[in-house]
Amino acid sequence: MKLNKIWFFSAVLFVAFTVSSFAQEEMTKEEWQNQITKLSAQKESLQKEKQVLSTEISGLKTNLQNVNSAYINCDDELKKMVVPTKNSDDLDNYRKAVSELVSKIRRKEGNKEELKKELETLQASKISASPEFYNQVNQQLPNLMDKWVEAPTEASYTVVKGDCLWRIAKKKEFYGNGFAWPKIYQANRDQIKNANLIFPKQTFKIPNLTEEEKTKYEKLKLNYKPAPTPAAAPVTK
Amino acid sequence: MKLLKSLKSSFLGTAIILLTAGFVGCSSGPSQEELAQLDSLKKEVSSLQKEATTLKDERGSVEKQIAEKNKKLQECEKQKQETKANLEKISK
Repeated sequence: MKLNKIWFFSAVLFVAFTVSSFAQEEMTKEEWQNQITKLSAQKESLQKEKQVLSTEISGLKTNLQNVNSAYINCDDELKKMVVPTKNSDDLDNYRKAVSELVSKIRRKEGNKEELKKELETLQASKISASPEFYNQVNQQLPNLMDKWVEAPTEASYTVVKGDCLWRIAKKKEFYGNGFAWPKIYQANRDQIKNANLIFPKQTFKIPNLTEEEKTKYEKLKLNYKPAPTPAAAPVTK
Repeated sequence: MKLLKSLKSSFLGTAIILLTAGFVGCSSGPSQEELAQLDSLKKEVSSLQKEATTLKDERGSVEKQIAEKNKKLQECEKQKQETKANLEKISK
């Protein structure tokens, strides 16, 4: 009886196992065939696509080469038009010269006439025809030159009662900095014997300060520390 | 009698097992070779798909390069015309 039970259960288990494994089987032959057909078609289509893409890429690469050589030719011709020697240094030097001239004119540095000549030299060069420079050299810089009004090299001032060199130098229309008084003193040594003694109706030349002098006197002004006032002094109204 | 019953049931069990095994063994699923063929085909298709993607990317990149170069070329032609006109103005 015990043996029968064992047999019965093992048989049931075996059947259940085989049935379940049969149910879990991935595909039937028909499904396999379907997949094979589908994948084969996909493979064929991809192979064709690959071929088409390869052909297209090859054509595009040829096109790229053509465009590239056309660009190189164009660039060459463009350079030849403005720099017949085809020396790229000429172009670089010209660029540098223009940049230097621009900064000189903007800062109004140096002699206007000399800078004008420099500009004319640059305008005469064929390189100025290049779009990179044409507007700058033939329009902007001449305009800047025209706007450049040279300031008079010196002004004059007639002393009034209560003036001193410090106060004159401090006036906004002159230096705006009292520390620059020695400049007035130096320029009028023929009239000023003692820097502390000037007289009404004396007319002094007030020369312009150079950039160097401006910096020097500004520095003096900034570094000036007035002497401390006595702490104990009471403030009275 | 007991022995006979026991023999009978063992015979029955064996028959069931053999029948089931036979049933499973004779089912119409694909063979191992066929499954391997399917697997290999799947791999081939996947590899082809990757190649096609790479080629499409390459095509896009070359097209982009052409567009950029064309733009530069047009700019250069424009500059050439401008320079020509400027040279004429200078010489006047």
